Amino acid sequence: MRGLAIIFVFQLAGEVLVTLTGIPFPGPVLGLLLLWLALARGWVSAESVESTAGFLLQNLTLFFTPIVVGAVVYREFLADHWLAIGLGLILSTAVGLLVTGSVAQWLEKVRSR
Amino acid sequence: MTAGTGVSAILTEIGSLRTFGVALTLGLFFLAQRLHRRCPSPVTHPLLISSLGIIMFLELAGIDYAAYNQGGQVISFFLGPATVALGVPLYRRAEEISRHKLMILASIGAGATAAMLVAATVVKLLGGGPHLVLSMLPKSVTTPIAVEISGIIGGEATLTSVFVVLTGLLGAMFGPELLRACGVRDDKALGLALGTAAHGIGTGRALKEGENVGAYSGLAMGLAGLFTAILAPLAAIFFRRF
Repeated sequence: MRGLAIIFVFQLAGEVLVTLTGIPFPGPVLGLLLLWLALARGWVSAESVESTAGFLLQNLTLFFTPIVVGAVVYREFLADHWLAIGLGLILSTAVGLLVTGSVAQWLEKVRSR
Repeated sequence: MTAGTGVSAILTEIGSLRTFGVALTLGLFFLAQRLHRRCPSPVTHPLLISSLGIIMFLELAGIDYAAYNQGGQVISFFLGPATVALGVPLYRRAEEISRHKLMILASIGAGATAAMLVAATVVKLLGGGPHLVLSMLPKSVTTPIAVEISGIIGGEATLTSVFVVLTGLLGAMFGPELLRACGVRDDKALGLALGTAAHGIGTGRALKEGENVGAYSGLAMGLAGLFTAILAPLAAIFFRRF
């Protein structure tokens, strides 16, 4: 319970900061950075959030399910533009994966030489 | 009132119950996970199978998405705390991450830029209007950031969120297979690629590949979001002109 409370407090802190400053940035990502900072500074012990964080991350994929189901609302638009959207999604995802992966692996090899 | 409309009225009422959306999502996701364990393959990815199962169920029962999403929202609400929770594996690797600063920043920057430009260019060349191109630009990053960017550059936020989840699904289904087939085998490189090109859904898959892969994926997801937030408005200016 302590872990869940800590995580929600940090999410809230992130969301409150975004609301107050008006910066166009997602609150939970700011919450992530704040939690990282708090752990690094020793304000929060890793043990206190570890099991809750593990549970949430193990089930990360589940939390996306209702959003994927939401694509059904756009079925007509998607059907009308299926080729452009389909190829755009497939090619950009493949290129994004391969560019990131190859650059990272190449730099890793250069460094360890 | 005929028997038919009576039944459909009852189904609509059941469909609007918050518990219905929660139970349907958890139940089908659990079954999809079991199927995936029995027949491991990219096309049995639990997110794909459970979503298709739910869509078919809603279709057959005549329940619309808005009703289902009363409960669906309860599930997707946990995306927020799950994002915050990524702070824990990142903290555990803080030292290692600072040793690999250059590799991390360069690969994520290159990958996020490439994904964004390819998505917009392909859609543009295949006759997509500016509305579609701009909604497509920020689609490789996590939903909350992508939606924010889409609004800023003049895309349609809801359409962007559909592209975001479809991108994540593709990356999670085929990403590790594609990368390994092309010779990318390093844990850090796999994680960085999945998080950059397929955000949280890719990170879900990365965590299944190993905790180390997952941590790098989580880091990449956040940084790719930042990069894209800065670059997308510039790219949008370019794509509106050409």
